[in-house]
Amino acid sequence: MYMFKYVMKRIGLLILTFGIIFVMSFVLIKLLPIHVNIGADQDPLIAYKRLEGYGWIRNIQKQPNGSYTFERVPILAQLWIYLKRIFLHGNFGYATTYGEYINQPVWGVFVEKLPPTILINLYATLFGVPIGLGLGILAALKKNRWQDQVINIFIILLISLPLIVLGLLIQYFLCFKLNWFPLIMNRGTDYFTWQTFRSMIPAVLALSLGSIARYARYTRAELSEVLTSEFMLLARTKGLTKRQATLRHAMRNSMVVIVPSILSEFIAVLSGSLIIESMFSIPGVGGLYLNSITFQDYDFFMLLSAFYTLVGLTAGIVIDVSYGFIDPRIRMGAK
Amino acid sequence: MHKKMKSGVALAVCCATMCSIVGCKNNDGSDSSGQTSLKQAEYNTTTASMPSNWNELTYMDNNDTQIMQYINSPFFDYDYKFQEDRKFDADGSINTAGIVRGAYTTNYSAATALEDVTSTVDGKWGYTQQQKEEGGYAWKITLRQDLKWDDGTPIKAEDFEYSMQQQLDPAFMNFRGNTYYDNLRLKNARGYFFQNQAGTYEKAASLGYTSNQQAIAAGQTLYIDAWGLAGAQGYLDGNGKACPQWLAYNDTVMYTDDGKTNSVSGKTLWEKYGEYIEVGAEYEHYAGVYVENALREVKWEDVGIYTVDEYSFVVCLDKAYALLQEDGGLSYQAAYYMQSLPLVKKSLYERCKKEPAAGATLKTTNYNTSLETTASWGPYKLAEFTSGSHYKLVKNPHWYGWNMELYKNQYNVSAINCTKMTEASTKWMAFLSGKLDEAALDAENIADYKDSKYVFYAPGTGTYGMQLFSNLSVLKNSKNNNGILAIDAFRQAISLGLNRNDVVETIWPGAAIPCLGVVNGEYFYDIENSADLQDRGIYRNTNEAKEGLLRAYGFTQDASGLWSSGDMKNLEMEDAYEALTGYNPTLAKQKMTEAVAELTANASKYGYNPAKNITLVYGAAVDNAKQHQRVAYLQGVLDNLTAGTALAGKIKIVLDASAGSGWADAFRNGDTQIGFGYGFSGNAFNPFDIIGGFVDSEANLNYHTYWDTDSVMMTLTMPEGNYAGAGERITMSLQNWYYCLNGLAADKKAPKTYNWDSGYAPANARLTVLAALEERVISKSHSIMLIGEYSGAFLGGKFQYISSDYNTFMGFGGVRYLQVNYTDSEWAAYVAAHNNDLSAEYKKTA
Repeated sequence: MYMFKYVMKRIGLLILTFGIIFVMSFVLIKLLPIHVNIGADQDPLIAYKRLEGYGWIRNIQKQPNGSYTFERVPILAQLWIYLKRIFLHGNFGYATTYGEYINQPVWGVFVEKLPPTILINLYATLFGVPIGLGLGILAALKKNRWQDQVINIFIILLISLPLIVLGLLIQYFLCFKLNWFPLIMNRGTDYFTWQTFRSMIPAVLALSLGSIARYARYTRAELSEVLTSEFMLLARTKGLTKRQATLRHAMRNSMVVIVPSILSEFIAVLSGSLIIESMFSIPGVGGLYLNSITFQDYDFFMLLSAFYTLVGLTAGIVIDVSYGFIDPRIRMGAK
Repeated sequence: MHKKMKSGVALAVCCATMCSIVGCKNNDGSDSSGQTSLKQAEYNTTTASMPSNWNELTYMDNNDTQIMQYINSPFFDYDYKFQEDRKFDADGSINTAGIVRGAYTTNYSAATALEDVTSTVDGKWGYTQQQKEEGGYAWKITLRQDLKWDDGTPIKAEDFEYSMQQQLDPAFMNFRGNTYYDNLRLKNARGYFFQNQAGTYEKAASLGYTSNQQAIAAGQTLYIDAWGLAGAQGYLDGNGKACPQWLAYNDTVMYTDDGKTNSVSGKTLWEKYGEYIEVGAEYEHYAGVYVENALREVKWEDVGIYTVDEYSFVVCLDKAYALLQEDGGLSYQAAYYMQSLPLVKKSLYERCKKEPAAGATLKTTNYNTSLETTASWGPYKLAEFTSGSHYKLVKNPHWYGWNMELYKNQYNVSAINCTKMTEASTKWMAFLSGKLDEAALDAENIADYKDSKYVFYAPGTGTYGMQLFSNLSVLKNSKNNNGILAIDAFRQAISLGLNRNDVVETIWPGAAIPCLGVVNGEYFYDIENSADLQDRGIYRNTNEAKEGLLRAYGFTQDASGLWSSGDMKNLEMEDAYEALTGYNPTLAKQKMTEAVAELTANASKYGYNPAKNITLVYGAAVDNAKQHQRVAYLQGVLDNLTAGTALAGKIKIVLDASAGSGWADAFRNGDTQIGFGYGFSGNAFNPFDIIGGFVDSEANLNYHTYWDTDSVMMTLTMPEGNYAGAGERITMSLQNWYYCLNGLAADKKAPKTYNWDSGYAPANARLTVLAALEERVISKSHSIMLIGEYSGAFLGGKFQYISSDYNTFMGFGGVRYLQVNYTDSEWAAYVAAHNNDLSAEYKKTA
């Protein structure tokens, strides 16, 4: 019951926090100066009228020197219109200034682009977690022996290499020189064919090698510490073999730190990797958020802000609750 | 049957079957009637940003035209000119050897006839007797009867009228409306488009008044921009009502700021600042007369386009065009100014209309923004489209062109695959591994590949340089201590201190050529007679243009006609022009010394504080290494120029990219003072128009609208001839000269109303005016011209251009004329045979 109450309380706080962040995001993006893009052969009045049409500005005046002035519609009035549109019509709006999505429904674009991002990162996690944990466990068990040294060198190398260099090396050697994989991800939406999977492998490798190194480092550090704990000595004393003690006690204890990091890393992947998606032409969500700010595309920005805020806040609850499942001694919300 | 005989029969049957299959391949775009079985292949290309809106009515930029260019068709189309008009060899293939270099023809495409009907259209269009005699204002276009959409729906004349009505619909205010009311100048189109708008504030002078007082005396109400003049935005009156931007000059209502320290009313502003906002005064633009929009109920019937019958319609224009030659043939202008009119598929377009969103006022449409909402009447149709990812175009079987001799054995590209790729390294590897058929020649690969036989260099009309903001009233009040920019000698020193060759080598290697004029060598003043003219009809090759540049860059001409500058003495004009580089460090230094002397002697005039450094803000859209390199380069030039003067080491250039895409406005407002790489590209056949971007203070493009070209006078003696003003010595303002040169003077109510537009004055008269205007612009050095567009690009080995000579009208032939070296399967085998790495092949020079 205490857990239920705890979760309900957290959800209540989540809604409040979400509301505050949502309003703040709306106000802050609207406070930025409005960019009016007028093409070389364009009539400025049409460009200003379009902004008026979006409900952002009003009272457009042409000054005698040819320039235009306008008044911004009060931000809270715009927020009211925006909220009404979402709650009454379920309409998250259309891209207005984000070049390649102009006039397209922002929700549709976002939903269309999520699958490749999720898949690439899911594959990277599925590939990276067991290998990373395995290497970390091996390094911890063989601490200060040659196996540990080799794994450490591997970890340092992969952690030191920026993602862009790693991606470029994989693309150059595996895709261009050896021609093992396509240079870019296959086009189309058949994500579960062998051809598409094969075309995702370079990106998955680039993303997972870094993760492998990180997981291995965490696991080695945590497990090394746990293995030297007194309760491990007790476990061995009461007759468990080293293998049994490690699996039943050391692993479970070290996972208190590692599992939440895996969860948070997987949730973070929903935002996509701008570099990897750009390098391997993956039509994912990486870059959408950044570009929505660059282009000052309000509807896009608000949808993405809301989504990632919600994901982040939910992840916080999930991770906190997960502690209780991994280690029953941790009782979230109990007094 | 004997085994060999069986084989023979089988072979014969196979051959017959194949032949019948080939023969039956009709109307599928690949082997339509008249097409020989040339090799076909898919063309693979990339885009850095996917198109989002290929609707002709609303498209935003060139990014959107990448689809538009294939799904629409022209009324009239250019083609190569072939020796003895023999376009095809005996086997039906294109006679590539017969292409006449630089020449072109203009042909009927979707239209079958074009008639000048100015003299016969209804009187309601208001053409004067003189206009009827001159002709060129009203045109009847007759369409082919086999025009169809990609689903087979016929296209008729009424569809063009419907589409234009949608284009100009005031409830939508579609983005491309101005193409028809401003550029083509369709009758009453502007009034129809803006009929929902209330009015504007115009300068008293623009309404013909010589002073604000005169406007008031004539019964006009003068308004003053209280926000601009007194910063009264946010001030409130006694009832808490906000101060409007424009206050009547006799309005006594007082508006006060938050701190209750400043109060204004229209009357107090008029009394206090009346002389400063007078016509011709520095702050003239803060006063205006409200001009109501009188055109609030314009009927569609009054807009200059109407359907005549099923296959013909008439357009009535406010501007005359010479679309036909004297012999009745199509002129190049037909395929330029009247190449096409917007066309949307009515049933689909109506379905795509959207009512204004909550809080908005304009209707919108999502026509031509996705696969489902796209209709094509061009050679290709959209087959796949995923936003942010890729699109694919395939041949449109219903295109009328498959039945035309004009397009026979062309469009051998069976499909166009375009994938979004943003990383240069990915694109380059994809090109080297044969996955892409084109790539850019850039700084990364130019050293190894610049002489490759797969690289093609194309010039363009883009002419760019450095803009220097020089409005003293703004500079003086800035905190940057940079009033020196308003001194002509300072800007001229920078211009003369820039070595254009070095600029190109350092900043735009492989992407530009040095250029000294405001238009580069790609502009034709007379394309029709290009082949017969010694200067090939190119403006830059004319004596007028050359002499103007020589004078602008410091050459002087003596009584015997010889030219001298610095160490170069007594040169013939051609030799002097040959030697002209625009780089004259000695003269530059001299000019800088002059500028420094002027600044220090009149420090208060320029708001100069000797104790402070001078800061010049370099504006850019992005803050990256390239821009920093440019800043460092300019800093080096300035440091050299100021060495040994009182300003040595005192001028600092700082980069400011905070305006992002609003960089142009930031420059025009004076927030930034150096615009590097700013310039224009324009109509290659009309250099007379682009000069407006420099001397028309009302032009949207102009970066220096503060330069009051209406008060800068110029005197010229016009060449003899049979035209208005011939042989006269005429003095008028630069702006007035520009208006006369383009036939706009009467419309603009300019003091002198000569019409020297194309067809109204001989070429030498027009060239004289243009060259003189260009000389004034360059001498002023607000705009320091540096480079002309000239870029290289790879075409992969799978295809080849029909001609490696760049043709102004045809380019290298484009997709239409691409010839296929390898089919898709042959190409895959070819690449595999090269170990999927074509870098060695692409380095070959011959």
